[in-house]
Amino acid sequence: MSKLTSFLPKPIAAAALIAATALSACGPLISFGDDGPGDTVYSLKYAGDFGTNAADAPVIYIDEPHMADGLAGQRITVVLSGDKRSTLSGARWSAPLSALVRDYVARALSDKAGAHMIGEGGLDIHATCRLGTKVWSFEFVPSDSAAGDKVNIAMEMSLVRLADGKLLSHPTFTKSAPVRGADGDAVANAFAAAMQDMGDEMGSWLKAQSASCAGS
Amino acid sequence: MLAFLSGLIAFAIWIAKVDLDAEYRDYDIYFNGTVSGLYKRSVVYYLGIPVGEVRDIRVAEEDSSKVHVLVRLRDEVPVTETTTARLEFQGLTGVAYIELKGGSAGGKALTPPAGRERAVIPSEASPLLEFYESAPNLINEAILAIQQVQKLLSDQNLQKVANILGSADKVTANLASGTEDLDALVADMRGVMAQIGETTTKLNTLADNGNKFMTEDATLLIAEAVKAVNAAETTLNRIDGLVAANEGNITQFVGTSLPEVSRMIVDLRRTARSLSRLVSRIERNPSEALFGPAESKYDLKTRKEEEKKK
Repeated sequence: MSKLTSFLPKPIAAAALIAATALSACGPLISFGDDGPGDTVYSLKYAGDFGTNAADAPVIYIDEPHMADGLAGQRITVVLSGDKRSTLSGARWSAPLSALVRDYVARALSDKAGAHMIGEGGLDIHATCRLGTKVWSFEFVPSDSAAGDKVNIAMEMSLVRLADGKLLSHPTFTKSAPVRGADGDAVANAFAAAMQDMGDEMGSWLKAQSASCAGS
Repeated sequence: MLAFLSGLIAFAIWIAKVDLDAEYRDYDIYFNGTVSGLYKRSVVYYLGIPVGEVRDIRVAEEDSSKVHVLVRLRDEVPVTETTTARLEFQGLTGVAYIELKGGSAGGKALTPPAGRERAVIPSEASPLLEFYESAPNLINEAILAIQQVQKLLSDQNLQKVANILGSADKVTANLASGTEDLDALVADMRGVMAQIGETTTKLNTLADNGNKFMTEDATLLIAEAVKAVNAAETTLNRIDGLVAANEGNITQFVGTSLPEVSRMIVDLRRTARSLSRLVSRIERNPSEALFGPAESKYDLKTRKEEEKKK
């Protein structure tokens, strides 16, 4: 201090030291965020063929699915005991779940039921029916042991004929699939398997309804 | 030791941004209405460069509806008679700053009016602030649009259309009478379309901002809202074209366009709900809307919940 004051007036030297001390007490000035690994990102793609191009196929507008509580967004929902909810660590969907489900259902139904499923970007096309979807569950359900882990999917469909607003059919599809492993890949594979089963079932259902949605 | 201390002092001066040679000039700015988010020492920018800071904020002595802000600017900032000050915000965090605009080179320097100590920089309203203030109105407008469309499709109006188009006499022998009623219908529709068009413009502005600083859910909500309103306009255009061309009859109208309009009403209802949820979410917790909520994570390896992180 004595050497410093020989170069600088005492008030300035004291102020500089106080400033330096106060500055160091603030901690790091810049943070680059969490150093942990990034999430693994999973998609949900329909594995079958692309849809029909038949001119006489019914045109059905498919709504953006309504997501039940806690299912919106890109996190993978985990259901714990006692109605507790969580999200899967280190994994997420590649897009908001509603968008993934809508695209999957559109492709699956177009392929299996032979209908023109008009989804994103097709609002100005004249459709004969409208398909509403409510996703009640899309969850990973861990059990006491890894062998009992599973995923649950439940979707309610509302098929409405636009000409007269008649509710043609209103089924709810539910599927479960076991999770064979203890990582995000196993959970994603289980969701894909459950969705594939559900897509087959939905396709059969819509095919039976397609006559009611035939073009006028 | 001496070199270290010298370095420390130099660093302290540098980090504190002390500019010993700078000269400053004080100005007054009067803002109409709230300056929420603006504090003493808030930064004043000119062309995006920090050129000064807010020294004092108080209610204007002459007019209590205005806010008097005293700013100190670097002397070399070209504050001329064309310079204006605008209150701006950094994203959704609510932190405000003042942006100076104008002040072209060679312009006449702004001088204090007679009897005043400091020159007064005129203020102008911030478009972003105007938008946030009008957000509730935006929802009301969307709801109003829905109500108007519903009114348009009331039993009475549908009956009117049925009378016009369903009667072979009026469609053929008395077309003039039918056209008159159709014109009124089209005029109503045009009113709705104009309102929807205006709403779309505002929503697009919000969506552009949303892409920069909102979480995916909020951005989706806005995109959904814009899409629905665009769809509504498309549908109304179709009806407009249909009616203007005097084509079809009641069967055609009810069988083709009416379902489309019903679909549009569903979309508009969703739009209003989505906007309401979005605005509530931002008002309730801007930080959560920006960064998402703090939530627990389930670890597959340990088969337990991780501790919540803030």
